[in-house]
Amino acid sequence: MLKDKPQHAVLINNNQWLEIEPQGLMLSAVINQLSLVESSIAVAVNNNIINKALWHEYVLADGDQINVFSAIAGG
Amino acid sequence: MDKHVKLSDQAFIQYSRQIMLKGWGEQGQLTLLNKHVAIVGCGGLGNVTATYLAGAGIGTLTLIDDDEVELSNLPRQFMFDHDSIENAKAFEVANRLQEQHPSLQLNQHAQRLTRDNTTSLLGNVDLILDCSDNMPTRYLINSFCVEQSVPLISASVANWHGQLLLVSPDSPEYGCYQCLFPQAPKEANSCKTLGVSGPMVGVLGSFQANAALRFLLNLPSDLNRQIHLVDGETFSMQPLNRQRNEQCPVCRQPN
Ligand SMILES: [Zn+2]
Repeated sequence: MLKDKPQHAVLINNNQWLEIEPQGLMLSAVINQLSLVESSIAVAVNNNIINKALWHEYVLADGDQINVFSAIAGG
Repeated sequence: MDKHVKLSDQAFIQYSRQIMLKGWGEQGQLTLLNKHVAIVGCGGLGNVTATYLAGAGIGTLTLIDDDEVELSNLPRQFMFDHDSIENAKAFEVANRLQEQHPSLQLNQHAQRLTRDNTTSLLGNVDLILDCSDNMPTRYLINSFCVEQSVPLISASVANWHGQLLLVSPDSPEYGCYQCLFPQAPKEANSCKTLGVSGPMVGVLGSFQANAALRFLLNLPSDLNRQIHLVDGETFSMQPLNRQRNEQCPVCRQPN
């Protein structure tokens, strides 16, 4: 179950709130914070894929929904 | 093969329930009869897509897989049984389909797709379904499709999750498979490493076959500009909007 939203936070993969500073946070910082392997992940903010080249300039706002995932190979 | 220009009475009855669908009709059925689809990977997704496409009356299927049937495939690869074990999957699927659909044209190749054989195995197809189980093959199919302007419907599944997307030569602005996934994860997200729910293979394969039919019938969908994340734990599908990655080595526009 998803917990109540903190005052300033972004939602990760529909199941976890990550608190951010009121002035916002860089997408690349969130990815660092989640200690993800950058080279193999795809990231979407509010259902739009954000290419890796833009992660360091994309400022997240309160309530943004972030999906982080990698390629599934199985068939 | 000569082009089909009219449905037989028997075919009309056989396909009547789909011919009834809006946008399908007798003309759509004839369209399918004249189409050639390649299925790369004859495992879980391949079993489902081959069954539904052959059932829907596609004219020609090309099946490619270098794997043999293993005991651990049986829970979800329903075209195989204990007698199939150690037989080539591509031949097993082809034999089963030919029994069910005597007029279906089939090309089956028990070979691994490689850079050297893509053109000979995949030339002249109208659509490729990526049903493979590994990242090198997925990247190889994607580059072939982009280079040769062949539409690609990619599905994958592992654990309780799946992914589905269409890369269409008609809408390059939404990018290709490699735009989305520039690099493979160090350890592949495969059924071998993560396990898989059999019914989720059915869900992804069914959506992939449905997407193929709608694409071939020229019926509208947003799959060419989205990737769907399919979640078998929450029973949800989440469409994410794709965009071309300007750094993509596969589909980057020459300056
Ligand atoms: Zn690309």
